[in-house]
Amino acid sequence: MTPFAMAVLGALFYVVLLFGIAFHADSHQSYAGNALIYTFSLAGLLSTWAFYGSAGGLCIIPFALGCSLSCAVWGTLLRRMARLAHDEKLTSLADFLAGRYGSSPGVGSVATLICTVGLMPCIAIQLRAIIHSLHLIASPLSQSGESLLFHHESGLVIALLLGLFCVRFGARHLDASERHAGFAAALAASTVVTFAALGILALFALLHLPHTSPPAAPLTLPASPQWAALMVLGALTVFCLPGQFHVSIVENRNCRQISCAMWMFPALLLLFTVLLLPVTLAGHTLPEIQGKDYLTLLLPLSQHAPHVTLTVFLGGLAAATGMVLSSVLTLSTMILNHVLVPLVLHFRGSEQSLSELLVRAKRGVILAIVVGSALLDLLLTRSLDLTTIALLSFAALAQLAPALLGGMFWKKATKHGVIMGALMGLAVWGVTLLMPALDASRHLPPDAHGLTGLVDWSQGLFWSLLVNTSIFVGLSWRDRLSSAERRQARHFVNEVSARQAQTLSDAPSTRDFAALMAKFIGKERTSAAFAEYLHCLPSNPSPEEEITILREFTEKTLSGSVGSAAARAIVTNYLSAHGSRMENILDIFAHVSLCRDASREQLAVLYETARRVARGGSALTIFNDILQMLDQQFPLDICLIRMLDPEHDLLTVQARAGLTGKAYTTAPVGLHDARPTAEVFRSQRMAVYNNLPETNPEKYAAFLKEGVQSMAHMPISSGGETAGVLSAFSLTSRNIFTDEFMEFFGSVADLAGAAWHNAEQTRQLVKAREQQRELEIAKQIQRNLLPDKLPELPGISLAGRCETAHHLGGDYYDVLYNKDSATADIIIADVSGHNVGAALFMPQIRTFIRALARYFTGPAHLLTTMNHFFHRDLSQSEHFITMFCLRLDVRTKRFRYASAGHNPPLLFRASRGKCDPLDADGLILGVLEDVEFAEKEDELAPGDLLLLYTDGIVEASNAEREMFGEPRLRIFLRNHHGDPLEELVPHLMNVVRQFGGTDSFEDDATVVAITTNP
Amino acid sequence: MKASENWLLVVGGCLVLNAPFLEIFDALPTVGGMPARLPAILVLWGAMVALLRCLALRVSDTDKAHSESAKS
Repeated sequence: MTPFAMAVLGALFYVVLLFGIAFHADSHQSYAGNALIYTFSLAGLLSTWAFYGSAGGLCIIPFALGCSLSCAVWGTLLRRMARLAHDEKLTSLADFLAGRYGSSPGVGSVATLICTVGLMPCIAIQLRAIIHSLHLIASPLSQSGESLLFHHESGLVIALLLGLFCVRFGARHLDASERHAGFAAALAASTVVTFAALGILALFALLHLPHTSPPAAPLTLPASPQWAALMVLGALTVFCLPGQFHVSIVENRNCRQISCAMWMFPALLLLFTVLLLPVTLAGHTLPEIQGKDYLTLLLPLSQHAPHVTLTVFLGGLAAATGMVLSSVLTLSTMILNHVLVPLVLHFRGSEQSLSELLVRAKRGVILAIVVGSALLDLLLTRSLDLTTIALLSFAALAQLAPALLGGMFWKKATKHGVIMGALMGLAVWGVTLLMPALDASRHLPPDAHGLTGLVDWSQGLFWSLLVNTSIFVGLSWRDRLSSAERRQARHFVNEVSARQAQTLSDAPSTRDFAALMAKFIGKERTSAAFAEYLHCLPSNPSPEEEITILREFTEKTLSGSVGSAAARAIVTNYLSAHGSRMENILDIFAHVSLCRDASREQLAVLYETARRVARGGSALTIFNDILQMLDQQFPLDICLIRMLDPEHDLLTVQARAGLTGKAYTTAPVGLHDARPTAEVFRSQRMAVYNNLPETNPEKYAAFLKEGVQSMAHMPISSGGETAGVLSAFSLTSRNIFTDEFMEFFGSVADLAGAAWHNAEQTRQLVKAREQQRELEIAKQIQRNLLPDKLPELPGISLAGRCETAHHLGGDYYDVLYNKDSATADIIIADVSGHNVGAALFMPQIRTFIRALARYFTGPAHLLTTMNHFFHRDLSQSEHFITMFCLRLDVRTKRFRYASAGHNPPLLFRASRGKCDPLDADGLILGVLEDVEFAEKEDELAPGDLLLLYTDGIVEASNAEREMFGEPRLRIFLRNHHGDPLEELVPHLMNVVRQFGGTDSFEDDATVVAITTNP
Repeated sequence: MKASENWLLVVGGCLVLNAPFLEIFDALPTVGGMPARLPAILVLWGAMVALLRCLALRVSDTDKAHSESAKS
């Protein structure tokens, strides 16, 4: 077997082995968090440029030193970046940058552009390395010539295999996280093979090559400016190389991986350098290969060691494979999310599922990148050596460093600064690095190697980064942050929870978000994602909190499929559609929904209807709006809403839209008619007539006469009862009322019912408030009728108080002092009931007494006259009055009294220390017309206390329905008879209130207390 | 672990592993055609790896402490 055949077979075996490892790791998730796999996959950074190309110039040393130094900040910076990426579901470097700058599509696109410019040559040299190494094995003595074209075919086959591998593991479906355990394992395996091959070669060099012969040329390290520049480039590449970003941040599963990698990764770089040194030294002792690319391969070839050659070839292949895999996968994700998805969203219209479309697009992008890179190398960069191209690529990618690292520490950084800085930095890179390199490559001999054309490349790197950073800082300093940028800046720089977002007024439901997500990632993945979401949802979040969490969750999940910028655009537009304009709703659904054109209008009408109902207002206005929307959005000719008029048992038209002049169709419908509307109302079930002429022409002749071809009726429920019917008629179309439409029609009817119910409740509320206001006014008037200050009687103390149970009461008391006769009439009364009727009698009694009291000979006379006067009114209104009337002679303290069925007042005799009721009895007012009331006489001795009260005092009851009662009142008087009356009366009220256990009285309660001054 | 300590290590590493400091080693004799400063670089690199290992251990310890306090 020829060496070439062995190499091809070995390569195929290796690729198959890689497939096996990736499959195995993919199906065993235990590998996912493995720290060793993570670290070895990171070392895939040392691709073919380091394996094949760096031996000539030892550029790898400062570059790897820079990488190693950057590890010092991994414990803080890289962990923070990984945490942010996981929190925000950011799946690529461009996503991360776009996410940092307020999910800016511009930043995402510019980052994707720079990554494409930087990565395509890098991928190209990997493919070239595979092809060239095959060529060298086949014909070791000629490094250039026509035979290369033949070996290109073998190389392209391997390249395509790698492309298929990427498709298999990178684009099976749109994953919300873009994590692939198998992919990381494959990268780690590649690194292990590379290191193993280098180790064997180093051993070969140490054992078999002459050590005594001096080197053909002294081994040199890069000069000082280049050394420093390479260190900086190495440090930046660790963060800015998309594949490295993916492996270190997106594939990161736990903190332990980073802790382990932050020392093992530099250790691996050191090991690589140490292994490379004997090879480089040995190469320098052989003038025919010294300083050339592929030195590592040429060395065993020149010594005729086929097995070592094959091993080195496989090591180089593994190095190339690792870089191709990571670069192609990440670049395809970025192109998909930041270029293709916005385009797909813009040019909508396909009938196929969006998620399937995106998966296919990603596969296409992967293959395009592989083929494009191969063509790029063939046409442009073929004459440049591996190291030059690799460093050119890294320098281009370093243009993302100011945005990336600046964005992690500087809150004021803006997207405009990033976009302009990166673009200008890239332009300077093109002028100072790319063009001179391409130009030089045309003039240099084909065997010239070692940073060809890049003598001043450190200056190019310096200037491009300086221009980039200056513009980034300058513009950011000048610009103002948008709210989204400010929020993300706080999130990324301070790691403030992004949940502190703005609240949403018109919040859609979880189902709405799920429906939106399903359009992009499919129902299955949406269900799985929501299951996880519900599992992680904090307990009892407020509605505002929940909608914020839901929004973020949707955005993050979608960003895994369509990129953060596109995800934000979709969710933001979707939410704005919820809360603002109809046009937006249509617009977003035009973009999002790739099928079911009809449902777009339905959803739009439903959202707008829901918004109108939520906004509130007149039910009729809302009905009109709903019908107008139905009429405009669907091929309907007449839309009606009939609501029940309970007084006339009629379903009257409350709102209508569409054609006029159809008298029968739009007429009121009797509740017991045989018309479809009435049947729907009675049965509470919808009715659909899709082909009226053929359904029952006789029964529906009146409709047919007015040209109705199809109609549908849906009951409208309000507060659990059928309140009306929503009807739609078409005069031109049949079979338009599909099941899907009727489901939607039912939703509209429900919303109309909700609007009616809301309006009804609002009406009742307004009415109740009006009544309440009127009652408040009446109560105030009634309070004014009671004496606010009792007259001062010589030698007598008086106090009175009335507390009403409801807003209007029927209790009354008054004290009228006649100075001429030195008598005071003291009255207490209670009109039955606590309503407006009782309240209306009270001012009449007051007027009567105030006007005529002085003309009565005594209390009995007053009561008899009053009874006679009010009897008719009281009996007709079914009210009655209890009253106690007392005339006190202020000089003698003697008093005469009469009672009309009122509670007998209590008289506390100070001389005896006892409390007795007055002997007061009589028929209540309003029962009989002619009643004579007995009048009795008594007197107040010094210290005596007379208490007049209404039944609200003694009949006040507690929770056990036990009444306060006269005995407790007696005890109270016995205990407090010496208190000043202005304290005694409120105290009594409080005691009764406390007894009832409430702040208010069940019944009106009135008290008048009279005592003689000592 | 403070972020400033890490950045200090990066800056210090850059200074130590660059020309002004490394030129000191150029005075040493060359071995087998290797630049004189190369062994020194490798030794310093090894020291840096050891230092990073210490840093990583501190990070792990901090994580453990956080995790235990969270559990308690």
